[in-house]
Amino acid sequence: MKPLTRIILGAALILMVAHAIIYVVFAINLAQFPFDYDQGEGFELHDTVLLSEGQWPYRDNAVYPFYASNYPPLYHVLLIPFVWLFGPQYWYGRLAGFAATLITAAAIGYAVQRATRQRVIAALAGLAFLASNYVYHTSPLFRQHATMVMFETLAIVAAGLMFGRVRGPDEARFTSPPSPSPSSRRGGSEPLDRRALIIALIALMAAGFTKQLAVATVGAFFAYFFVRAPRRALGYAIGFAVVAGLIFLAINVSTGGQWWLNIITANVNLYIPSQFTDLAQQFVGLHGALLILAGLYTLYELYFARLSIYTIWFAFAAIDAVLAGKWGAGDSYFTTLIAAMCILAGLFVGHLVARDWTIANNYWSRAFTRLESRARRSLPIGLITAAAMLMFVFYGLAVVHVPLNVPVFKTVTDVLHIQSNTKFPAFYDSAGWVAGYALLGQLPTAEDTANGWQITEALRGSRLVLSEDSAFALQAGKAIIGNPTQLKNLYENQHLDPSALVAMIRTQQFGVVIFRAPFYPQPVIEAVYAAYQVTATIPMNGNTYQIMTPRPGYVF
Amino acid sequence: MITKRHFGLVLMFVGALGLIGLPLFDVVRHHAIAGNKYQLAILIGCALLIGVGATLLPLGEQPL
Repeated sequence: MKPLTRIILGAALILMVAHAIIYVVFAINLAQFPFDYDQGEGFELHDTVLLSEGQWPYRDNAVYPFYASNYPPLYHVLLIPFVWLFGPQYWYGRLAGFAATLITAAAIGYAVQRATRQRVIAALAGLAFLASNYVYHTSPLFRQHATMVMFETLAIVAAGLMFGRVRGPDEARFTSPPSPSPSSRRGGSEPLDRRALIIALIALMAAGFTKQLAVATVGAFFAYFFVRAPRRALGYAIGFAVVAGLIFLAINVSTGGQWWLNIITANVNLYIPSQFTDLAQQFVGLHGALLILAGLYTLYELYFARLSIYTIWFAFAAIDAVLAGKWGAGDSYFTTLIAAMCILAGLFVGHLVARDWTIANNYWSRAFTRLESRARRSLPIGLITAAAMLMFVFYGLAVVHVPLNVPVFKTVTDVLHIQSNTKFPAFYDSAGWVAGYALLGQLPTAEDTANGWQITEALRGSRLVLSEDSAFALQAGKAIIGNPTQLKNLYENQHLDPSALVAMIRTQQFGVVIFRAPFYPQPVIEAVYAAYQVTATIPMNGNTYQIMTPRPGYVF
Repeated sequence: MITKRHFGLVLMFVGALGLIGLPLFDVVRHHAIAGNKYQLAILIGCALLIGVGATLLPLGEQPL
């Protein structure tokens, strides 16, 4: 490696390590915050509590307590032992999300290391995943998305081990791609590593039962399997569908059909094209440098080698990311694509450093060779390698996000004249904001925590409370009533009659109502504002919470 | 064995389906393509698929 390339690599590594440190500080700090940081965290905690008590969180939303979950249960099931040991707490769910991202980063690094034998580049690719603004602020939460991405990545990396030997750096630059075996030429299949296959299938199943969005990765896996071994792929796909279908059916039967209603029907939401296009523009602006490398690697495999599972995954994840335009979806829907992108970018740079490209003999490579001979010089690979590594530096600079109220970070950001550009006084985020981009990332302050306890105190004297963030009710030991976004989705899809909840509101059976957005169905919101009055507004984490108590003299 | 030619044909087929189907869908729904940036983007994407598919055809029997 040339000195210039080493310097650029060093700069890229420094940037990625700095981002990783910021991420670790954020995750550890956030784990200690005892209230909802992202709307919905508390409901996922409640799902975990219900499952720990042997109850399904898939229930009839029309009857008291008007509560159901819209996510599959695996993430919550994994956290059940923590509920038994520590009670309902946020920290273990957030640390689980954080740990999932570390495992994902390690799996990305492993995939790159195994294919290129370039440890430093592998580390760079893994750290690049953690550096993303999207991963940073949507992962170390009590939410299942990061765990789904972890299972997806593990499945894909295992799938990468299913067929044949991975090339080492000792192989020549201009060799043909690995030839298919004779049986493959006859329409059969290539030798298969059954252990890797089983691991991949288990991880895929786990991803799907963590969050529905993993279906695209399942598609990518079977598309790859079909390309390499069509007959076996069809057989395993049928087996996989039968097993997944039976589990699905069993849960649906045991919940009286509420599973289907709550995790499928309730997720068919309004699609907002501008939300997707705005997020896509933001995504490209932040991750464009690595997207270029991933795109180049895709073209290389398409024209000069064979399609790897990573490239197929990249394509499927890109299609899946279109769902980010759904109401209630957001930037987290790009996380799978980011993982695939990091692997491809790492493979591109790793192969450049190792100089072990496989080039098939076809019209493209022949034209390329003729061009080289006419110019009487080979490609300046050293320069191209340096330029590719520079893309990691550009990426590291594009995704800068930093809490400004951490002493060391403050010193550095003061020197670099980085100031808050968000609604939080002590948080800089290069992403800016578009609809669907979660407004998170700042460190919760002592004031936020104190205000959270103040809200909690406000509802201690009430028997029943209706709260848009369930943390306050959980901390006060009250029953969790209503999952607002779930109620809204079902109501807007004509699958919910909210009259029972509205009747409770009109008869002022809730001692306190706490609104934040509000996210409830319109009739519920109207009933609350008619029967209750705002008695206090308390800020927490950049949101304003309305504390409402029964309006005196109100008669419906 | 699935080859690059097979994949090229699939891409061209999907692209052609979109290129023909979207305007037909548009006529049925009485919408105009002109001025709708999403539909235009889909049409350009379909044309790209056909283009990429066509460049894969000469790769013949090379395995995908």
